[in-house]
Amino acid sequence: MDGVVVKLPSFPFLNPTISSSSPSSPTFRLGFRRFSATLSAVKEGSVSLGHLTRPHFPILHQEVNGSKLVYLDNAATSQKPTAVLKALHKYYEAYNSNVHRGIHYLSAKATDEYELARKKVAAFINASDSAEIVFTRNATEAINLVAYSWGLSNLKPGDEIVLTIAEHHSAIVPWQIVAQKTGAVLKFVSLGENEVPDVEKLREMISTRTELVVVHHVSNVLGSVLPIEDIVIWAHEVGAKVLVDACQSVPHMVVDVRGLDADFLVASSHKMCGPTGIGFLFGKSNLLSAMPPFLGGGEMISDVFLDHSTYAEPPSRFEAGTPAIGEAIGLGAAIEYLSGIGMQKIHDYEMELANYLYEKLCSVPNIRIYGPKPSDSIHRAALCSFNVENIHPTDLATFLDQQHGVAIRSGHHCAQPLHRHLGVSASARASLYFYNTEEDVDDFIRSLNDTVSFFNSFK
Amino acid sequence: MTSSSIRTTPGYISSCYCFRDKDFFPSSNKSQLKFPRLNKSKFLCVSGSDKKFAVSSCSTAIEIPLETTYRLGVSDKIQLLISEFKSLTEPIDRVKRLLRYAEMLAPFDELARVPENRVKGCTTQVWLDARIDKNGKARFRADSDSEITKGFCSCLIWMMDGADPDEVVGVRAEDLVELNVGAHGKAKSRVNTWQNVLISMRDRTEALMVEREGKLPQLRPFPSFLVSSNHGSYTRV
Repeated sequence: MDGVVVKLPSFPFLNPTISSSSPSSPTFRLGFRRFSATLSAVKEGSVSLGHLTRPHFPILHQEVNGSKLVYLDNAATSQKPTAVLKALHKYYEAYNSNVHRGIHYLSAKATDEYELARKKVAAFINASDSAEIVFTRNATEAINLVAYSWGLSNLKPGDEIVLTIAEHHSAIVPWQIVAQKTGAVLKFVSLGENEVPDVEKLREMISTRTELVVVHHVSNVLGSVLPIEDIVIWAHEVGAKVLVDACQSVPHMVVDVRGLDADFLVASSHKMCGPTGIGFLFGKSNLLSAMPPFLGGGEMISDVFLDHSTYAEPPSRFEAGTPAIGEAIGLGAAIEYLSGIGMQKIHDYEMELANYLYEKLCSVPNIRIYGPKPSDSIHRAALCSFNVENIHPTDLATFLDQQHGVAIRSGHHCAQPLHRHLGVSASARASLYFYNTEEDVDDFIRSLNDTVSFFNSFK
Repeated sequence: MTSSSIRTTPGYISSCYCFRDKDFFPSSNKSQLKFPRLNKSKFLCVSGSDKKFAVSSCSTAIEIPLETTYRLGVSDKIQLLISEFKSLTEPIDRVKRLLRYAEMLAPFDELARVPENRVKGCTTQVWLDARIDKNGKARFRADSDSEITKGFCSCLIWMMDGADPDEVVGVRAEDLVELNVGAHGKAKSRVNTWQNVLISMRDRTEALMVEREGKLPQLRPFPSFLVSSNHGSYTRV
């Protein structure tokens, strides 16, 4: 392959590709989906997006245990392009300073860049105002923020919270804690046909007693996508709010919070080419304004007296203490990088990769892949959780790592209720991102077949 | 194995598994344990004075007087195991060696596969049965749904099955850090199954000692706590 790396144009954050998205949810684009064995979409000339972008990620070019690294654990965390590394480095090298407080030059510069990052996040998800973006440590903290702040002040005994059994632990446990304190009741929707949460049942479960619906956008185990727009409509009809866990969707596709009309939305920076230690909560202005503080301290106050304090307006109200300034700026750089490629382009490429991965995985003997089978109407994310009969996923993952340098994950993927429902204690999971290539999938499948043969020979 | 100065190399320890203890398997009337399908390898016990004798891998049970099996102290066995694994420079060879040991693991009584015997904190499922036998020695059996974990259990059991409870309780996780196979790094992570199994073996033995003799062992490991969802109470792991 002629490796000419095209320098990607960097579009200013004010023109994200989301403006070109259709009003309806982009994940249900009807159209011809080819399930051919070779990737065809999204190539600049004859080079796929994966090949184009790989050079930007220095960490991918190394050997582990004597084999070339094949990184397929992106649902756990993504790798960072040099643009993000440079932004972080530059922050600490050139203008590191505490934000919002200082008067001097460095402080002003740091504050500007930090708030600019907030604006970038807002534009990335099409929020109407950057004040609707609260920076947190990660999506888990964002959900806890909603639980402790909104939940504790709004939930009464008998109020219902509707979730699915496929939710991540971060979307379940905070609500368990709050439900215990307030007397609210958690209701879980099980899986229906195609091994996705039963959307009809979910609709039925939403009643006048429902105060909140907590759902994932894209499942980190099943690879399925939920119809968030519809769910929001049903919830709003009964006056319930919707919290969307967008950790696996924001990094991979166009997400439009106004199009979805979500009340709350959370995502993590480290899954979208940004640094760890930063995530965000999107909350509608009127909701955030009515919420009491979560953590108390500096930054989130207006005036402090000995016997009481008054609080700042959102988002500052929910950002106590010195924030992860460098990390926020790093996230801003990641968003610029992603916008430069175009989220729609990333999504299209990953769809092809997802189908390729699924097809190839199906050819492994005695394999059981969880989640829906991809088709014209059902789109899978570029991840597959699976089990091979009689071989523990941890053994698979260990051998893949030790013998082939392939990095996948094994365990319950922070979805124990889901695994219990599927009747397994753990599963293996390979998850891709736009810098993975067809060759990565081929390497993975070849290594997996070798691994399976190895373990079968021991029996 | 009659000489008291015999040192067994861990690679050939199968003979240690094939004695039977009627008290341990009260329900089983099997007179032989399953042997691995290692084709016709000889099992050597190499003594310090260069005397060798072979125990062939036949399928008959080999009865060994209980006392002689426990001559090697736990810390000696740890060293032997460490040097064996250290000699395997390729990580994949260590994985393969563990799988061999997995095959040697004695069968696990189905009745012992209960939630109380589950080792907490592992990504694989591990059951550990810990007892103190009539001679006051710590006895262990373990099982797992993962072959690699079975290998770890096999090694740990070889080290500590039949040892003095005090010795068992004195083993520290740091002593076994060299045996890290598969799980890179020395950090405590959920994947560090063997550490969890070791800690479980230690804690269960300690609890048994307290129960049995009403006294605590000399060395007390630092307790670790697990937050349970039970209204904020803490459960000792």
